[in-house]
Amino acid sequence: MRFLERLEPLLWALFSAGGTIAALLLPVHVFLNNIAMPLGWFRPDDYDYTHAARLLGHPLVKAYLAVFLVPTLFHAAHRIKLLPHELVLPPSPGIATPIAYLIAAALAIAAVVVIVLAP
Amino acid sequence: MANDDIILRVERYDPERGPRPYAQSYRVPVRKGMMVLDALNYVRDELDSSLAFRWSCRMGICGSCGMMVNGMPKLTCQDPVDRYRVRAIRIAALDHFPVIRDLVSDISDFMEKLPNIQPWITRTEEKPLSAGEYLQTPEERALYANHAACINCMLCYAACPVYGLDERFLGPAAIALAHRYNLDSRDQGEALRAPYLSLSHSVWECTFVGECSEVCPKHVMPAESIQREKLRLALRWLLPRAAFRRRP
Repeated sequence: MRFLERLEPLLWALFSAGGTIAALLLPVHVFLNNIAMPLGWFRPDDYDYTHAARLLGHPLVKAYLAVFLVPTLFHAAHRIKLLPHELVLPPSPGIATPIAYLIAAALAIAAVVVIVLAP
Repeated sequence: MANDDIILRVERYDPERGPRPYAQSYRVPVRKGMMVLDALNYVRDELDSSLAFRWSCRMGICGSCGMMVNGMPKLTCQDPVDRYRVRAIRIAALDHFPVIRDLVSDISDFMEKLPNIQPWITRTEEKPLSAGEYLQTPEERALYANHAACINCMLCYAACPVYGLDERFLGPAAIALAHRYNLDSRDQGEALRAPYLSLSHSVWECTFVGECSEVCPKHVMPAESIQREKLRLALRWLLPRAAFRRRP
């Protein structure tokens, strides 16, 4: 717990960055993936698997996805930690916070590995 | 009942009478321009001298007369009774603090936390007297001027849901005051305040509900100060020390 306390500035910076990124970029992705694509607003071959895979091969796209996903995951962990406050419940037990951050860290590592290994 | 009478429904508490608070109502004739504090003073002078409450200046600068009025933290000397368009006004001691008696809160928790943020100008190197005063331009003063208006009335603590849930939280006014000194061009104490401000029950507990800024009678904007202080502390953690050296 002392360890987490020392990391608090970093965790807050990730939370803050993740919140900004999620607010700015998530709507764009929701629009593209969940509205524009199913409605067929793209030419089919612009958004097929081979095209998407080739896009992911570009280092700038890999960097973009890492910057998009990692802080957003830590943002989610921080929100889970704050959830009891926002629902006006007593603070969550001490173990909930490290678990939330551990899950975020594991998912962040998994995301980076997948992004790096992708073709 | 005269047309311009109001009812003050006061939540009272007397530890010698019993462990539970009780409500008592008083009928008060309204005068033009009457504030809630004036109504309470009428009760004490004319109806019930046993009613306990704090007040001093009656002009919104001493910060003593903060109370819950109809469930909202208010500086009662600045709160006109005619803005409440109901006959009965509920008055209670400030939320989130222990009550000593009637409307008198025990704010020792805040007073004990306050010295930890060193709310005074701290110099690491003093100029010789012959070098004169530490001058400040109007622009440098404007940076912290609104944060310096805090009168420690504790309305922000009564409004803060985080402090209500966990009293270990340092709280709005104390952090706003730390921010005020960190912004002061004459001060060199930011590095001394940082270790305490970085503890988990200091700035990081704030979830930016923003009620503290809503209720602040002096427009200090504690919610904004807290977020800015978080950013300063995060940058201090992430960037090399040299970036934070203050000019002499």
